[in-house]
Amino acid sequence: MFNKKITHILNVALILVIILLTMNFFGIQLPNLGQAWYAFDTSPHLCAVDNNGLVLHPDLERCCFEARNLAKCNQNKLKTDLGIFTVSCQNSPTQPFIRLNNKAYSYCLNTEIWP
Amino acid sequence: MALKRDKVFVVLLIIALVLAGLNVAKFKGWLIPKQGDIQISGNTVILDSMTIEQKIAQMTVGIGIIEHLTAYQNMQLGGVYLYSLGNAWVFNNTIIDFQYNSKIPMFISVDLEGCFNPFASFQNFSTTIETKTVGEAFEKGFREGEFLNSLGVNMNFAPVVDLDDEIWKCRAFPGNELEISELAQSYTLGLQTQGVIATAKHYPGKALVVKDPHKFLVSADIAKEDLFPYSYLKEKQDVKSIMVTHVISSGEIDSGGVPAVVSKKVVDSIRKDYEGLIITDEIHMLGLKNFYETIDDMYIAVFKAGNDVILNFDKDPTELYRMVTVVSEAVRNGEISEKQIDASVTRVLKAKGFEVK
Repeated sequence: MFNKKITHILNVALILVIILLTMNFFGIQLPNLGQAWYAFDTSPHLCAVDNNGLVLHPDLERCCFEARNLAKCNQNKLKTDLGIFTVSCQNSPTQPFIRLNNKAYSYCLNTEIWP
Repeated sequence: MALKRDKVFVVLLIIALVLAGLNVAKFKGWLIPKQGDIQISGNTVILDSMTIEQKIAQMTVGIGIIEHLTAYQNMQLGGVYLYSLGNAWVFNNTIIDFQYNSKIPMFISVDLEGCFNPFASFQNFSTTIETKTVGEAFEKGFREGEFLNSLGVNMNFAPVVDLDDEIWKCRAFPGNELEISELAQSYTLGLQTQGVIATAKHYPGKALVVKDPHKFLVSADIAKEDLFPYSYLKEKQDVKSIMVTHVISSGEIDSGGVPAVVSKKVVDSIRKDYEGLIITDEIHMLGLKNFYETIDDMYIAVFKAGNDVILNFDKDPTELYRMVTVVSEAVRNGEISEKQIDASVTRVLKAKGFEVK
């Protein structure tokens, strides 16, 4: 069908695809580069509500849930006394919104509730 | 040799395609077996015609992602919760899709608390903290109910009756416990006039209080005042549901070292003089699962505590189905009383407007 070299490459690629599809089917997740970075990141999780002043949310999982509830999250860097926030989630510019640092955002992305 | 390589390629390709198909089927929920028909005579649901799996599914609310439609319809799930979806057209069509072909209509639920508004991109509402009089509270409930009803939403996780909101600073009503209770009662009446179920939350209180900003809030000392809005609303017999949170409570209501939502004592304290729905907070929050060796134990615990509606917003619909099967098994082996499940399903079906026999 193809020459020897191409067939070899295709077969190896297909084996990799099969491995990944099998893992996905059984819900086995490989740590990716981002998660490896997350593991080495020793900074604290920062997830805060911004409504004319930042208040750190005491429950990270609820904060993730409330951030997920909002329409969209964007990169938006803000240096504060609490730390550096890199992501903000909001419904509209006039509404209170949620700010997260990279560590908290990575955590949220990996929760069961964040599609 | 070349022929053998080609054969290997074809076999691998077929395996990859089959696996891709299985992954799509899993994501879409096509692997979840379709449940049998529930007998409904006129407006009366025949409870004995429901399997335990159907009863557990009716007690469950999942996340309203349209890709989960087939999975939820196969399971006959009790309801969905909608995140912010962008515009009214998308909301409306998503709701129609979920309700279409559902023999028992779903709860379509949202969090609209004014301050926390999933419709903010196309509809504004005043915040709860701005609501000062019972007239304003009724009107707020009425307007929000009218709007939600027009979209097809039939359950709102509001009003918040926590006495303090130190986090958002806009989700709780202003005033002392009596004023908050009166405002919440008026809001509830306005909302429910429009056919939308109101949910007083977060029992037993202090869910929006910052204790130590650098630690997860896991415990709260509940005072008499925290419970006042609930006894007030229960006495008036209007509010159709109450949401229990995951805080470990002590003081007036002691959850015995476990989160309130899995404490039978806490749930019973609502049930003793209340026939409405008792709803859990979303079960993946506040590290609830950390209290159990396995997630299956957590699933069993939230049902066993006596909650009527369980919010499980897992992004994987097959996990929801797994929860249904795990809990059904616990009912079959007597770990959870079937009588209790029947009572909860009856309340769910009645809240949906059915009679139950």
